[in-house]
Amino acid sequence: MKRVMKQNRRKFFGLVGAGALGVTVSQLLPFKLFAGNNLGSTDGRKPKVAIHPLAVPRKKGGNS
Amino acid sequence: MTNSKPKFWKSLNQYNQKPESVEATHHEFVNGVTDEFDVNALPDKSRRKFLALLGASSALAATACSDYYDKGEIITYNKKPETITYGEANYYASTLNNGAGVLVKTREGRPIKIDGNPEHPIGKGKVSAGDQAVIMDLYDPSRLRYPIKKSDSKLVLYKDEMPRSDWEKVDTQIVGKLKEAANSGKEIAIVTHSILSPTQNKLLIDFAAKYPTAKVYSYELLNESEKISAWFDSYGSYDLPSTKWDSADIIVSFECDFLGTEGNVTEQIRQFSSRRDMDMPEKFNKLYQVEGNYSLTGAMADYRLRLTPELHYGFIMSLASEIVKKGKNAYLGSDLSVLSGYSLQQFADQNKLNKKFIDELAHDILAHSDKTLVVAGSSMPNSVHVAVNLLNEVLGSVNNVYDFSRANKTQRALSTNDELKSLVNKMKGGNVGVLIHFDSNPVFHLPSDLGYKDAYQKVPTIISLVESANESCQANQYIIPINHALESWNDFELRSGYYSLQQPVIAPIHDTRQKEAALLNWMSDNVTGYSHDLYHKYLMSNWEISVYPLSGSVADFRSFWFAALHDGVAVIKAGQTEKPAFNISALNSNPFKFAKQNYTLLLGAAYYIGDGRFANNGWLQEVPHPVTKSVWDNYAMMSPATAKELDVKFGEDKLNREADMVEVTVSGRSLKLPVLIQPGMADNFISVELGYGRTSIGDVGKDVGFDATALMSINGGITSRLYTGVSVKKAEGIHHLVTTQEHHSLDEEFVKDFHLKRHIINEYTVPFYLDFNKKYDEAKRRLKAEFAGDEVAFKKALKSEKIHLLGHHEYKNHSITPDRVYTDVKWGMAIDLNKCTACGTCVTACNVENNIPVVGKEEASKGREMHWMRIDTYFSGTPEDPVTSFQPMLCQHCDNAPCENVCPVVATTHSPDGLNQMTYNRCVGTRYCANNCPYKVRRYNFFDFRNDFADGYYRQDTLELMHNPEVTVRSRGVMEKCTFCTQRIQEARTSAAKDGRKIKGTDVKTACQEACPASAITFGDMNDPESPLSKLREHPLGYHVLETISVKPNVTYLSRLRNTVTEEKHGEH
Amino acid sequence: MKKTILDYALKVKLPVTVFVILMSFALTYFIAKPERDGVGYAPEQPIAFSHKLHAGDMAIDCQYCHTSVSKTRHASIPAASICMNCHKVARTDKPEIIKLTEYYNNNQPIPWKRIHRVPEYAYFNHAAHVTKGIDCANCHGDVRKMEVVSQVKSFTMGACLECHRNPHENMPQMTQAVNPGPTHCNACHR
Repeated sequence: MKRVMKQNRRKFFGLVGAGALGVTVSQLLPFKLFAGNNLGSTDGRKPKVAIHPLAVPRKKGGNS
Repeated sequence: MTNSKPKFWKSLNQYNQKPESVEATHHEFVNGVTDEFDVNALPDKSRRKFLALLGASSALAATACSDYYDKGEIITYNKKPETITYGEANYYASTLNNGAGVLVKTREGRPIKIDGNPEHPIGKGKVSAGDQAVIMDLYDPSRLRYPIKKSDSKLVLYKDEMPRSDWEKVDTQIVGKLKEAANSGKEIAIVTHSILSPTQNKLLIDFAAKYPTAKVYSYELLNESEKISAWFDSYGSYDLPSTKWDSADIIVSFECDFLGTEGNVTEQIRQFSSRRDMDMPEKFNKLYQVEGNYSLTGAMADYRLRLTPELHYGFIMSLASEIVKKGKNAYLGSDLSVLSGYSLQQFADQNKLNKKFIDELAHDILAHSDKTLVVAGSSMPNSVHVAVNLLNEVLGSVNNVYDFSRANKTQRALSTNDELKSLVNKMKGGNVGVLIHFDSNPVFHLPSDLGYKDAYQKVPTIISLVESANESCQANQYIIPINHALESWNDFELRSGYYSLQQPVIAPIHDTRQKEAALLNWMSDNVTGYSHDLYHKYLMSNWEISVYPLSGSVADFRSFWFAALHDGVAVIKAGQTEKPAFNISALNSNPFKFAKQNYTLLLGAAYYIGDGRFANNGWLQEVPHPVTKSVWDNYAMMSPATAKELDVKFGEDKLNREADMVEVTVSGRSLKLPVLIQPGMADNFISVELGYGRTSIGDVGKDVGFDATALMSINGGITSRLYTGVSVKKAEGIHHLVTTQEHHSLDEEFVKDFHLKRHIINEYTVPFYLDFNKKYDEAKRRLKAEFAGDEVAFKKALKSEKIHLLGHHEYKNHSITPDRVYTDVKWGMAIDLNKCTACGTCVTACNVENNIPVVGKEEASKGREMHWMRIDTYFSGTPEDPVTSFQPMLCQHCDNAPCENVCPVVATTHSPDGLNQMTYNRCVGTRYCANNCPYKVRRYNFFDFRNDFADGYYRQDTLELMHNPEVTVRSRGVMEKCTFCTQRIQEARTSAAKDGRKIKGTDVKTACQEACPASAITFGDMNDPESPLSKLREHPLGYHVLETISVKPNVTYLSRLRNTVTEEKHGEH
Repeated sequence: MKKTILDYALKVKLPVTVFVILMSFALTYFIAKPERDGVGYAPEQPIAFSHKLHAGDMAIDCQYCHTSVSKTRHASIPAASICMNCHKVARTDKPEIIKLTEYYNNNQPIPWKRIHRVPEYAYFNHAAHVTKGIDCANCHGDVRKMEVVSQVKSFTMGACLECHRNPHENMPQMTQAVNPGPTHCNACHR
């Protein structure tokens, strides 16, 4: 005979499932984070290494 | 087996007791299941077959698939700059923001090391530990990378992310606000640190001309204003002469930590140590330190007196009166009746002072009166400094120990307390339209009872020009990121006639601005026309009109300018300046009126992190405090007796780090602090370092230590940093305070004076050594005659005689194996403990040079700090009056290295030039070598500290630019230690090969040697008898640490000579 | 006699296992030899630069382009700006030159495929070798004859040490006495 779950147990699992669904949806919500922002870009944030054109170099000097 | 039917059964077969079924119950597995597995018997589409096929084909595919030859790509320049040669360093002369002249080493455009500029007359090629580590601040990930307007209501998703604004908007708005404030008569307040630059000062004046309501307020947490005002009261001038520390035979210092935190420490160490040359023992100086705190200078002193600061005034006056009584007064001015109430004998008896100290001191300053320098610390009040000036006058030394032709310049006087109070009132009353924080942090630095923190938030427009966000960036404001010192233009005149230039050694790496150029931009008509060149042009034109004419140069201005940029400094000839007359009434107008009540509190300067501006520098947080060896913290320092009275303990747990808490209260302001018990402190005297407890800073410095400015008052106590009538009581809780004092201790039994008995530290006195020299010379003559002709025997006999005269035993090192022969260069090092002042610059320089990781407080508490060089401290004497000996300890590169024999994978070996080599790629991390090392100098990478510390803070993009490309960056599981800068040795070998000659010992300067301000470290070739190193190795005062264990170390230490009269017995043996 | 498991194990399983292990070791050793010592690697480069044309036919000196080889430890691949010294005007119609010019004008470094690679923990020093008179061809082969550069000499540590220990055998052209190269760890490993 096919065994069917008790009514209360079904309700419990239903609630758990609903909770899981809710958490997932709420985590997906900050889509603003992913869409059209520049938080991932390194434009203007990546450090650039360039010699300053006006710097005057020299030899080590002293007693080395 | 019964015949009756079973009661429970699983099947009809069982019920009927079929024999096979019954038999089956005796077996675990059904018959046939565990028979041999035959693949071919399986059906074609079995799972097993499928998996087998899958595995085989993927293996085959893997072998065939990738181009396993692939060695990646090699990316070079598109347009290579002319000045760069791959693999060669370029050097630039510049100046740091504290005025220190530096020579910056860059590789492929990136600055990687800071050292002193040899042309600079103050530093003379050396800088301090803090200056060495400043290179890390250039690449600090917490630096702001773009302009920010805090009130912009953008959705900020990460709490640390600040809304990015754009320059055009920011510039236009700011200029609008400035013009509005000027037109409506509202003040434009500019809050800055002390101004050290003449051009910057000129700029501020020009700014005030453009915006007439602008007013400049400058402050400094660690200032010398008491000393300066005292000088003005005494001599009528704000130009204090520079001090010639090397001209003084006797230095009497009252709470002045001139070898640690006060004044120009680099220069002072050099000058002080130059008078402690063991080859000229009769010229040794003598340092008397009178202090309540236990400072580094006190630890170095020949004679030290514990005396709480409230009594110093009386002491100084008593000394002066003693000089006069003995008829040696050199002060020819008006009456000295002010000294009438003082008597040295009475003072000593009243305060139960050590008679020996008093007698020695009086005797010495009378004998050397015109070469005696008396100084007082900057935390002491005006009256004490005036008394010191009087004493110097009475001694007649003023013209000898001060250089009036080179004054310590004040470009702009600091704001008085009243001016700061009026600023706060104006802000509260809405009379300030624009507030500009010009690279300053007044909310953190100014005493909280001034009320700056609440008042400034009322100002409608606040602009902070800062490198990283700090405590003063809270309110809605414009935060303008500024260039680091290595990206900036500027000039500095710390001393009259010495004009240091600051030039950018790298173009700004982020979207930041030169703060002076930002101001110039806001003064100009073209608001969006900012360029880095604005201040450069301004600086050049200022030099053309104010510096160039003074130089007397025959070249044209442009040549002069480029020469100055090349050298880093322009030295203008000094004029002759006369010493002004001493105004004795200064003493009457402002006598010292404080008496000691309850506890005394000294708020001192931190040794490395300054006033807190370097708190985010991991290296500086981790270099151990020179006296207490603490890291990553501040605390209330107190004497053992005081701790006993308060019933507080420190370090009695297993990891030596649990500290009880005390609550320190000054006129209603309280702070809970952990306790650190320091031998040698005066009783009922607490000292706390400032600069800690920062809350708004990068992840490294955040919440490190306790903010002692909470105890300060704008009205001060005795001074802004010295308070009496303080109450201290035990508080709840404990704090983990990490000190490295007991880490890596040499494995010796801790008996009293073990370091002397076991010849880890050898010390003598100057009188003993003078006597020794006489006897030694006489022995030389005698033995030369005795062994005429036989050089070898003569040398042997002389050595025996020397050991005997020094009071040691001779011993023989027996070896069953023949000694290895080194034919070429053999590297060795000598450290002169007479010159070493334990400043820690060598440790920091080594960290920068060798990419040493920062491990953090928790790992440091387990002894895992990764410093290849450390400074060990040994105490003798008593806990009340300790005698401190310092010893820099590094890998000794032993000839019979115990670490080399025990490596199971031969990762550490000995090179033919005398180095103990470490091959990181072979090391498997057994740690047997570290176990065997008697000096405990090997460091193990328990973690990949770059990943492990503060969530991978040091893995971030900018910090990888800082690494020295010539030194391997070590990962987890690998042992490391000092390599005698083998990368520099290799570089020198390459240069020598290019020049077609052999390498010489003097071609190589190790990082520590280069950095030491006292020039205490010598490195070179011991196979060259003429080299400076060989001479030091043969010196009578030379010895090796733990010589008797026969590992043949190659670092020679030169014994310290204490300039004390009594014969110090250095332990039985 | 009944065949026991041990019999079977010793007579069949053991020799078969040993044989399989030895064969797989030998096979892997020889198959992976090029990966170990790199010999024979000749990848395709982003621009088909021919050393045969430039260094061979036109006899341009190695050090004209590889400028730092006698000064520092790096040989340095020339920057695009060195190529453009000539190719601003020379052969500007050729497709490879057009590629080059595009890289140069777009400020893009040319992503050359690396052929000769010594691991990072070995700090090979070109200047130390070149200043002693060691010819480029001793290690890199006769590059002047290569259309596409390939690695001809093994770059394992053993190969380096072999030359260090017997310099004359490996460089017969050196007429004067050559000191054996350093064989202590620090010479290359820091």
